[in-house]
Amino acid sequence: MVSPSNPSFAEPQIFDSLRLELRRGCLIVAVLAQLREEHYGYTLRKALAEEGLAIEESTLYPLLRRLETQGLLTSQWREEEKRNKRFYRLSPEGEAILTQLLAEWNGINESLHKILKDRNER
Amino acid sequence: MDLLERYLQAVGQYLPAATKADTLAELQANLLAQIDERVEELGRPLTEAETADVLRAHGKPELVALRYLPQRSLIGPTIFPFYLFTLRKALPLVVLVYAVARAAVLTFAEPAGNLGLAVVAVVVQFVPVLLIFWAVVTGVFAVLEFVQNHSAGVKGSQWDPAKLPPVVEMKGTKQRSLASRTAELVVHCLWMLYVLSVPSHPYLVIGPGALYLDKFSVLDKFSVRLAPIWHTFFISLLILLTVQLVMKVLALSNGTQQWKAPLEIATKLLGVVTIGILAVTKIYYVPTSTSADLQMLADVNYWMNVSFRIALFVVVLGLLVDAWKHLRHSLPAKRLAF
Repeated sequence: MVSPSNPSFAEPQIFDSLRLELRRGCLIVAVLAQLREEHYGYTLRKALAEEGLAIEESTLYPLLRRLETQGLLTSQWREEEKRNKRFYRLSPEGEAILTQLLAEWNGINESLHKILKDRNER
Repeated sequence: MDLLERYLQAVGQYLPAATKADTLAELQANLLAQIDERVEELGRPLTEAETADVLRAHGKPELVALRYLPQRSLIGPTIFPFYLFTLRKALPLVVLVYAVARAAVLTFAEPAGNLGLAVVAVVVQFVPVLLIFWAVVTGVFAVLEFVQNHSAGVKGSQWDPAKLPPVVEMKGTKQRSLASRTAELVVHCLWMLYVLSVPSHPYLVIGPGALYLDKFSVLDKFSVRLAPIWHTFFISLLILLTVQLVMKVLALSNGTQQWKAPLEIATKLLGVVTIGILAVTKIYYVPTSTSADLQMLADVNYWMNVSFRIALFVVVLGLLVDAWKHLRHSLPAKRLAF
């Protein structure tokens, strides 16, 4: 019998796929939030990992370009330690979107806590 | 750094020319920063194997490049369910049109030497027809996808729930009454008695014509008689009617509902065999003496064969339609997961 509340009993592929889906949106919020401070790809990845949010390079770097294309980030090529690097920063549009996303995130989080709390109290 | 350059070159092969140089420069800067940090940790330059490990961890070049490309699909998730729906609904129609066209050719063309081979050829030649059908439907939906993506407004929310069609009760889900099933059994028994009586009472089939045949000995006059195949046909007909009788007796009990459709298909298959016996035979009347008009006999046999082929085609088509309906309802319903 598969228990939906216990991932250890569920198919690993299903869990992986759902986890990926859950993380996808969260990572975007985390990247936008982290880029309130300027970073280039590699240091951003390190900063996120230090905060406990590891993300693959092959996911992060294309994501940065996509967010820039959407106008949420601005970028600038600049020399640092004798190497040209592309630095990203949150744009004013990105700041506005991030505020909305965080509100949404907090709403979801509160609802989820409430649902789980109600269930535990039953 | 040769390995890094080769890696970047491999990634670049899959990137669009417009953004290639910029993407590769950024990728190179990030990978070099990662390598530098590793060098700092170890206090020595990386070996080729260690550089390879860094690149391996970054991902296969084609997959890395793929992530930089916009997501592309010929038919997107909004239109895809309609695409599948159209394929599913139109396929039986395509099969029907093809079957009718080919059956007409098989029936009215000069009778082929081997009916089995002709049928196999018809099935094999259906494959390109199927591919063309699939390609055309896919092409049409790809155009729809393109138009939808490039049109200004999406009107997905403009629909009226009140205009949805009423609920249709699924055929076969309603159990027939016992009286109805009993009446069906009685009618079938009477039908069997009728069929069993036909050989000894031909007027049951051709009415007053039987008296004419007896009185003037028409068959004898033309020096012909029925071929032995009619005997085989009659026996197979009796087997079919007996199987149907058993089914109707079983149907009196309520517990056999789930077997109803498969048994009906099996019975129809038996019906196909019965008609098939007549369709593959080419001789229905045989001469009884040398005075018989052989040309006329050949013509009569030919046209009877054509008639039975048409009948065979109709019953095979009916069988295929029933089998398709049964299979369609038996397959597990696939629903979109949100």
